[in-house]
Amino acid sequence: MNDILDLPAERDLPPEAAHAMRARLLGVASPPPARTPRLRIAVAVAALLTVASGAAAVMWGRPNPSTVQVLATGAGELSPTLRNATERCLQWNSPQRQTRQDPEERPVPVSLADLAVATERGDRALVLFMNDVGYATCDVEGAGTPRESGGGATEPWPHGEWLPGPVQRLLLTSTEHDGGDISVSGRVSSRVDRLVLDHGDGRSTTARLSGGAFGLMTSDARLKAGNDPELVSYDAHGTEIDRRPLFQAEDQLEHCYAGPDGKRIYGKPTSDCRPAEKWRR
Amino acid sequence: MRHQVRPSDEELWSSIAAGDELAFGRLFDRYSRPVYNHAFRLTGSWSTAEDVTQATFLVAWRRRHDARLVDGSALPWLLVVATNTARSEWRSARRWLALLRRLPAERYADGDLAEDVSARLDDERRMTEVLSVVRGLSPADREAVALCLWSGVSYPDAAAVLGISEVAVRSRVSRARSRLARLMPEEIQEGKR
Repeated sequence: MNDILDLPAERDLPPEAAHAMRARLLGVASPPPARTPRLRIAVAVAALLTVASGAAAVMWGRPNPSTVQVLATGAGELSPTLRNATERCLQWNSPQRQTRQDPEERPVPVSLADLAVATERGDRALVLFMNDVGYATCDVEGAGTPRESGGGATEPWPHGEWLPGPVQRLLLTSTEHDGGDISVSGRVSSRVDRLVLDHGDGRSTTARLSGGAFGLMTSDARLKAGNDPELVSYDAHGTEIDRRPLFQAEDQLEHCYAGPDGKRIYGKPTSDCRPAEKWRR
Repeated sequence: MRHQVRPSDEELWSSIAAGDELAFGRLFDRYSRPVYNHAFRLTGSWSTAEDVTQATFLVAWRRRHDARLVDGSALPWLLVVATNTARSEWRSARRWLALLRRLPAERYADGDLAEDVSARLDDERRMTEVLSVVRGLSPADREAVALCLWSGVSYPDAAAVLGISEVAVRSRVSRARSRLARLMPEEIQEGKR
């Protein structure tokens, strides 16, 4: 039994890594600089430029920069901060880095041309790249600044063009272990006309849809997992077609999903599989 | 004569809760090593352990108002945060997490570090073997093994931070011990003799 205790000796963090990690953590912990009118103007200009280039920009209730959500659906529509975020995501997802992370997995090479959706709120950005091989997606905070942080996911398409129903979540990050503010990206079938996050407390946030992809970011939402927030899909007639828990892991789906031949594609085996839905860009 | 008084974890945490980033830096200096090694023992990868360590301290900062110090120490709570971070869905084999931007791994290419790289690879091979056996345990039992047997958290402290009774912790460790004794393949045991 002592064998299981005979583990490799403890080691120090590599000094360079420890130093850099400490500096970045302190950067996160430092109080953010006060928002100046100049910054507000810069954000507003970014939003206006994005509108001019053909993308959607939405101004939410309060005139606070953190509540301005800018959406870009292609490389030509990126604001400077979104461009920083996409470049960082591409760097994090370089084939070399993916191979280092998991040498046994086939890397998913993505480029700026594969950008499906990029959205930002304040200094947080969510980007999603998709191509025939798979996807890469990141949640980046403070891109291009010393306070930069983020998370991401990449993998070859798990089941190609098939989705577990109308919606498939690819990335979910949250600021708190049980909620807070979240960033979600994923893909939807052509049946989905509108995708909404129901916070479970009477509030909701609408996702941005573009070419089979979606991005959704909340601001000051104070989501609570205990409230059971859900992603709700509606068709073009406004009819609810799907509702699933936001915090449900993709490998713990409530239902199984089968292709037209009845063969199960997603979920654990149960008797009443729902139809998997086809995804098209 | 100069002397330095080391602030207690409680004093540090009180400052951290008030938004003192320097106190947070001291907490990092104090506990990054045990968190890093705990994360390595959970993941079997030094590189992933770096990510988990960063994520752990980031969560610690974000949750500074509801951290639970146990018997005056922040370490058990930090180790539980590290455990939760390591086992989150992000850690699945095909996903990666860069909660904070890390230095590129190319730094290991320096000649001076070649020996360190080799030793770390040996560590990872050994830890992968151990984890392949430990994965036969339930998540709760694995957590008890990692906290109490590997990271030296006392039973009462583990009980307090996990929110269960000390008897339950002892029971998990005991169950894990007997199951591990059955699961442990001979080749692993021989490999270490």
